[in-house]
Amino acid sequence: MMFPLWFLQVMVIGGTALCALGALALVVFLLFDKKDNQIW
Amino acid sequence: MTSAVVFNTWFARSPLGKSILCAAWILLIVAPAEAFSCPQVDDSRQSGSGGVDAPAPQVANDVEQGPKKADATEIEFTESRWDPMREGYATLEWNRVDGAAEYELLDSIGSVVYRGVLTKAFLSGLPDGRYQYHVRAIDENNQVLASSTVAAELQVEHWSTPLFLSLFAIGLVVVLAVAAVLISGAKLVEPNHGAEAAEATQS
Amino acid sequence: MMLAETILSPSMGYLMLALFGVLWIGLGVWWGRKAKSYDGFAVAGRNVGLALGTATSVATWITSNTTMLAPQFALQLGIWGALAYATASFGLFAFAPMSGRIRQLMPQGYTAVEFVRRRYGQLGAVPFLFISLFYSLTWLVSMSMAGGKLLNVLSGIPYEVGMSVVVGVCVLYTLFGGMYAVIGTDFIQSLIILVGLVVVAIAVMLKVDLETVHSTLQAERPMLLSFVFPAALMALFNNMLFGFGEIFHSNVWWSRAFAMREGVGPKAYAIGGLIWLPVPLVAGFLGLAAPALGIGVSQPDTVGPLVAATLLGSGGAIMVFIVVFCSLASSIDSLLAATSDLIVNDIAEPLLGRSTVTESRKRKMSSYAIIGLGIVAWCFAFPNNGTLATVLFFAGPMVGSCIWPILGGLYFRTASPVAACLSMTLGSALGLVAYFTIGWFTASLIGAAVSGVVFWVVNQIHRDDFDFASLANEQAAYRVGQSELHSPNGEAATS
Repeated sequence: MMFPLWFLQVMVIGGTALCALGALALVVFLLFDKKDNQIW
Repeated sequence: MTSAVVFNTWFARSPLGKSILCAAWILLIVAPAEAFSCPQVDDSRQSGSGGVDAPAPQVANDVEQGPKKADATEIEFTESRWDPMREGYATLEWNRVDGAAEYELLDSIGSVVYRGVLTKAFLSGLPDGRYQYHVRAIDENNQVLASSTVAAELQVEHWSTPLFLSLFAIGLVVVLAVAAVLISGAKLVEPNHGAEAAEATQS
Repeated sequence: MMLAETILSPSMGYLMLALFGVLWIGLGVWWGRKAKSYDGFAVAGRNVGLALGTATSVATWITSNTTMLAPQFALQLGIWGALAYATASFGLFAFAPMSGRIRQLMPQGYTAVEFVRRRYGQLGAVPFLFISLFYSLTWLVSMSMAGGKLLNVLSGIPYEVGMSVVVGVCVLYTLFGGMYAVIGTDFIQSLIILVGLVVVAIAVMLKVDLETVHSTLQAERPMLLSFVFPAALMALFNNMLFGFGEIFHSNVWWSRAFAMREGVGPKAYAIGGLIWLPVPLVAGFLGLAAPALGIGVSQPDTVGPLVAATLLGSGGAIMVFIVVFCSLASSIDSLLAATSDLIVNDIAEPLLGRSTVTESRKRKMSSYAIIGLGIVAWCFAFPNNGTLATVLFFAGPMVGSCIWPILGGLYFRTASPVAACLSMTLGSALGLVAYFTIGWFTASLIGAAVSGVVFWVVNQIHRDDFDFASLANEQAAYRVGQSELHSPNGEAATS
């Protein structure tokens, strides 16, 4: 029994997309925090 | 009491002294730990964070042996007989050959499983079974310079089903228990539950 | 291509090291303007927002292992290997509610050991402090050694030089900037690492389609795709429990809980876990793709950089170098800061007597602690002794045994000191026995399992009735005492 191709596709493409989204989210959070002057 | 005395000396006043004291304190704690002998059982490797137990490639012992003293025109494996492997991976290593541009590792049916410049190959993902490999050195014109006479023999025997199933099951139970305790604990101390929940705690 | 040589030339390596070293130290000095007080230095003023809080959760949990070891893990244990690695994110998810609880219980707290001492007294604090120090020091040394080794593999810079520079740079910017520098650089580092991974992954997928990757693995390394891979399945929960143990006990994570603004902690850790989760999957993919890319795999631990450099040339090599440097620095600085907190707050201060130690003196002691830790790490790492790295493995059962005392202590007033002490001691001991007698894949599992059983059983016999409110009250009283000590120039007469 093997992991099928679609699983690999979901894992890799989904993972890459999540990483990109993550980087974007961090930047967005920073901008929001900066607006409220609440970075730290 | 003693610490007060020590701290009122030079150690307490000079920056260098303070650093030394810190270091000494830490060494006192760590030294007994370092007295542990290194595990013989297997070449295992754990990462610090990212919480990973990772078995290292089984090459550690062979490297200490050093390459066999073959002629630079002959090619042989440094280690050709292995104990049964439980994880299906191994690193095969061989000596350098003068004038070789590349090395090829071939399995028993002749297909190339590794082609590269370095004198070692990492094999993995092998199912249960016996495997034989030969290595040969190739020059720039694709001529075979040397070919190994003694095949490397590997036997792969994955961990037994009862063992891994039981450990898997224990692991599942423990992890679920952690989740259950965490969830019930968090619910218990939730603000809207208020003081009554806190009073009623009997774990 | 450049398989026999390093992927980067030494001179390029030195240049990058110098560049980033100067940059990071500069940031440390700049942010250090905010780190003059002990509160600023140790917990960044307790006001860190969501952006930095999330980034620091991500970056600190990404070590050089995540970027270099994940591809190796995937090549050894296949898809299950990559998935098992990714489950380390569950520790971050679990800590999300815990971080809120921690901050609520101890709004003026500094360390995990402080909590255990207040919650369980010396019975709990002694084994816990030992485990904490053992874990931090072995981790610090192991990361320092990894730094030297990786820089040498990537660019040929001699091990001693690379290791010394990495340790030195981290010590310096942590020294100047404290928690501010650690968290601030974490934000930059997490962006670099995430972007770097995405770029390399896309480059791989442009070069070879996933169907080819799948079929190559099926032909050449079929077990990597197997649903039933015994070693991988055993590693799955073992690693998860190791991850839980690491995060639940370590002051690296507790200090962040104290540093984040109220309400930010749970969100930051949960989102951080979500952002971290795909990182080992993508890094693991690089390892799995190597056979399909025709890259001869000799050493699995360098397959990640090898793939990047092969596909993207010297640009890729530089990027790998930077990503590795970032992942190393983001972990070493956290360790330095968190462990110096332990030394100052939980060893020095109790020894010297709480009433004689002012905030400014603690601030000074933190500096010495960081220097001291740097020296110790350097001394142990310098000989590049491989067996020393194996000592880190013993931390698995030890931190696994801390899961229950921490969980019980945070949420249940009946959790007793005797239970905590015995569970940590027996869990560690039996976990270590399992490690040597059964195998590496059992250590954390047995440690956590034994600890759990012991904790529950002993707690039926010895019950406590702890007043959680006392955690906050004690601190309030202590702070009042502290402010009375302060003379106009901030120095007490006794220091």
